[in-house]
Amino acid sequence: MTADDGKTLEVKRELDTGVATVKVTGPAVITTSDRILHPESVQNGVTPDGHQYAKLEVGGRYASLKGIMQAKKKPIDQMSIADLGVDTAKALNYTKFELPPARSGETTFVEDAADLVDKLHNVAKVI
Amino acid sequence: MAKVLVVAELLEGKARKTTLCAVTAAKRIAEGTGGSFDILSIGEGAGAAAEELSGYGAAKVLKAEIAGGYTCEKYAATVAEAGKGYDVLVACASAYGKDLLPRVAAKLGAGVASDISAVHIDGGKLSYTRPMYAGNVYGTVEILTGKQVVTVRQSEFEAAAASGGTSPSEDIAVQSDPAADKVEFLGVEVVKSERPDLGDADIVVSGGRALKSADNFTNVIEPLVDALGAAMGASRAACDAGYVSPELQVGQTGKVVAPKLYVAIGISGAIQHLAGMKGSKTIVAINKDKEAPIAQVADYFLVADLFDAVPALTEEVKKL
Repeated sequence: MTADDGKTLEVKRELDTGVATVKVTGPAVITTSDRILHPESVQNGVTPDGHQYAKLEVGGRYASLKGIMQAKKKPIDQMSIADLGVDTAKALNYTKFELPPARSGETTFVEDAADLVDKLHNVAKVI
Repeated sequence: MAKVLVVAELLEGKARKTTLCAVTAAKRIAEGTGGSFDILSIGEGAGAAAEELSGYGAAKVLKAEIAGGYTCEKYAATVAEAGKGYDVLVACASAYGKDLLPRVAAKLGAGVASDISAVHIDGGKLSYTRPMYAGNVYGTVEILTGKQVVTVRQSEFEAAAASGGTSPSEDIAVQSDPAADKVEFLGVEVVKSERPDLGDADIVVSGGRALKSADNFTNVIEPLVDALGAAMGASRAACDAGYVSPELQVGQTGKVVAPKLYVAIGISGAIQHLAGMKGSKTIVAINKDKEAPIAQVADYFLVADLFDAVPALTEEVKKL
C-alpha cells in the first residue's frame, strides 16, 4: 500500500490467481490481510525510515506502551444504529448448528516410502 | 420455481472453472424448485466466454462486455441490475465471488449465505449449509429476504459437465456506478503455472515450515508434485516465511481444497490448516513427530525425516 500524492492510495490485493494493483480515491474502506502485519509494513512518520526492526519469525506488530496510553485518552463517540441509518431487519435465520462430519477410519502408520506408495496404490487406490 | 442467475468468473477472456461449480449449485436449486437458471458472462471477453458457457443447460446466457481489469465497483451495478429479475444469485466463493457478490447483495437489499457447502430444498423452500468457525461448526441458514445471494465453496460443488445444446445469448447494458470512478485498476500479475490449479486438482502436495527454505521446496517438494501430476500447496508458515508465494496457501485464510489425495509434508496441522484440507478423501502426513495434530485427520502417516522420505517417495511414485 502506497500513498504518494496524499489523495489516492495504491493497494495490492491478493487474488486466487495472483496479485492485482488498484488505485483508490478516498474516502475508502480498506480491509487488510493479516499478512500485512510486519513491523516494517506501516510507517507512522515518527520512527525513522531506516529503523532496524527486530526480525520476528512469525509476522507480528505489537502496540507500544506509549501508543496504548495515547489510545486510552482518545474520545469515544457513541452512536446508535438509528444514527447510522442501517436496516436491522433480520435477513438470515439459522435453523440448525451441527458438528462437521467426522473423518472415518484410523490412522495407519506406514513403514517407509515403498509401503506408503503400495497402500496408496493398492488399498486407497488414489494413485 | 426459483429463477437463478449464475455470475460467471472470467480470466483472460475465458470462464474460470469456478463458474462451473456455481452452475452445479444453480442447477440443483433450479431443478429442486422446478425453476430455471441463466448465466451472466461479465468482463473483458464476455462474448467469447458466453459461447463457452452456452452448453451447460442455461435457459439464457447474458453478456456484459466490460473492458479493462476487474474491480468490484465497476461490475456490481451491472450484476445488480441484471439480478433484479431473479430470485437467487449464485457465484463461486473464490476471491472474485467473495469480493463482488456482497456489494451486489447490498444493492439488491438481499441476504447472503456465503461459502456454502450444501443446498437443501424442502417443499420449494431453500436453505444452505455453511461451514463456520474454521469448519468446526456447520450451520444451516435460510435467507429471509425476497432475493437470495449465495456463494458456493468450490471444493464442495463439482464442476458441471457440458450437457449439450446451445443456450441463446443476449447482450445486456452495462450500468455506470459513481463508485467505479474511485477505484482504478492498474494491473494484475497473474502467476502462471503448468501444474493443475490448486482449487480443483485431484492430488495436492503441500509443504510446511519444516522445509526450511524456498530451495528445499524446489528441490524436495516439486519433484514429488510433478511425479504425481499434483498441484502444490503450502502451510501459512511456509508462505509467510517466503518459501512459496501466498496464493499457494491452504487453510482458513488461504484456499480450501478437497482433493482425492492430500499429502502434508512437514506440516504440524494447526487447526487453521486443517480447516482448508480436512475434506480431502485420503490424507497422508509425512512428519518426524507422530504426535503432531495432523495425525487427527491423516489416513496414512509416515514418521520420518522429510528430507529422506520425500526423495524416496518420489522414486517409488516414478516406478508405478
